[in-house]
Amino acid sequence: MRGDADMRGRHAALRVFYWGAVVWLFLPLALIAVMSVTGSSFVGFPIERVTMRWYGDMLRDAEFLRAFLYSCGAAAGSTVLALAAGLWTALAISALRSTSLRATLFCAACLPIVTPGIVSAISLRIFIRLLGLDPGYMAIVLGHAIHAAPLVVIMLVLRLRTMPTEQVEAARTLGAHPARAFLDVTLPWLAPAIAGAAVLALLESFDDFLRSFFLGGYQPTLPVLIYGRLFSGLSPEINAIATVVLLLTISIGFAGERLFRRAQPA
Amino acid sequence: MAGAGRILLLAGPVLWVAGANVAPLVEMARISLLDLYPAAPGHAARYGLESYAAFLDSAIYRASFLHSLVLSAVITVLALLMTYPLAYLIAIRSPARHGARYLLLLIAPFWTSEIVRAFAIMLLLSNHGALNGALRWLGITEAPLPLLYDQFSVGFGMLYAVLLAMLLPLYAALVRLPGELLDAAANVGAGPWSRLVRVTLPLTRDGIAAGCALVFLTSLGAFAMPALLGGAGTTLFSMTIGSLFASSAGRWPLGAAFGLILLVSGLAVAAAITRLAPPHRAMMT
Repeated sequence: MRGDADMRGRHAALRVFYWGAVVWLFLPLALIAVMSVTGSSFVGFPIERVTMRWYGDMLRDAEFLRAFLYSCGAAAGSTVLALAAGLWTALAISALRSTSLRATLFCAACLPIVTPGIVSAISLRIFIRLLGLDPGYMAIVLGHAIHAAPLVVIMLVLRLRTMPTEQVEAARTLGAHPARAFLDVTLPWLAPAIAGAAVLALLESFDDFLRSFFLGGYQPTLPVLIYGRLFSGLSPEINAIATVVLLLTISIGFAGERLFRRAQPA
Repeated sequence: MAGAGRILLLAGPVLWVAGANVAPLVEMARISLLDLYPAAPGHAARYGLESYAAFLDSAIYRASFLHSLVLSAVITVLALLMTYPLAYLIAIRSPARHGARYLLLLIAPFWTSEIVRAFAIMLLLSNHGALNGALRWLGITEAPLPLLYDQFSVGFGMLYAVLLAMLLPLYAALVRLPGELLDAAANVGAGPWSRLVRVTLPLTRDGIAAGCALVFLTSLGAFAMPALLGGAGTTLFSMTIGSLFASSAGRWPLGAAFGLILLVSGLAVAAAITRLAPPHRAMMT
């Protein structure tokens, strides 16, 4: 059946469609990088000459540097919180014996995934007021952590389901304290999934616009800064900033994916 | 496990889920019933359904709500039609090792920020953008085509934004499909079309439903793409809601009510979609 010429023809068509989709996804992103090194002072084609001027402007742009550091800080804080909440939740889910309780807790833990973005953002804006929290760093950290925790839960629950339970039982039988068994057996088994989930949570926070926009104070995160500049007219410097964000996030994504895959048992 | 340890193990997650996931939505529902919030000094809050009445009374609000529903439905169908062949190629018609690499290449663009992707589309579609430049260079058009700030660019951008939410569930469903099943169908004389309609599609129904539900909800809540790529005639409900929070105080109850309307109608559609094909229960059992 694999020698069938008609079949091969259809697969060739599928392959062309696939590469078309890849071009469709990457071409607009490549445009940003190309525009970031053009000499013209407005965003447009055709390209006349190549310059690194906009990267120089970017490095002297205090507003950009502050926003970048602020975004990194928010990503670090929210990732720690999301990992803690997600790990605890995943452990509880896999410890529950009742199927319906497990399903209920799992669904409730995944609620932020199915909440439409704008609803998530405004409900969190309302919620931080209830908590007495002003818009700003803590609000952003909390909002990002709430958004990223379900991803951590899903990745860790999947990993826990493949854990050889005999090892924990053996440790317990040999008299290990539950905490000891957790630290020596469960945690090492979860480590690659935790690393993968951490990278995802970092990216979720660093990339997030909606929650940062509604939960932020005067200091913008990097995506909020870019959003503001896109509205206030296009300076070519924005291309350099967007290129840096693009390359940084995609490299982190690939690094995280490699890390996660390498640590997987064959 | 000992009772105390068990309670401790459960207490954290239950508190987190109730406090972080459920409480914001409950508080949003409460605010939607208030007449004024944040309350002015000396004003005693009063509960009522005025915000919901305002939605029903206003043709403008209803139109933007309907616009969001229709656009999200269109995006969902387009995303399914576009993504199914991709997921099929990657999951079934590629050797496992290549399949993983093919999948990665489609996922990678989604590691970057939605704002960066919206900006990329602006560069592609603007009057001085790549597409107009190419059309002029080829001599197809004289003047730039207005491609940005209308329905087309919003649809284009949202499709670009939601693809991953469709791809992953479809891939997960297709990769579970045993290849021998398709071979067996071929051996008993089922043609390619019949294999697709009678074997592949029915057996991946749960993935299709999960992808459609997720994409529909994501599209309903999209804010940055329509805000950056849309124009005067493309106001979506998400932008209406956002503007009620960005502008002067006192419109929060209206925004909260609209948020709840969006959430409930979105979840109702998503539930209807998944009712047609129950999702895979493996995660929960």
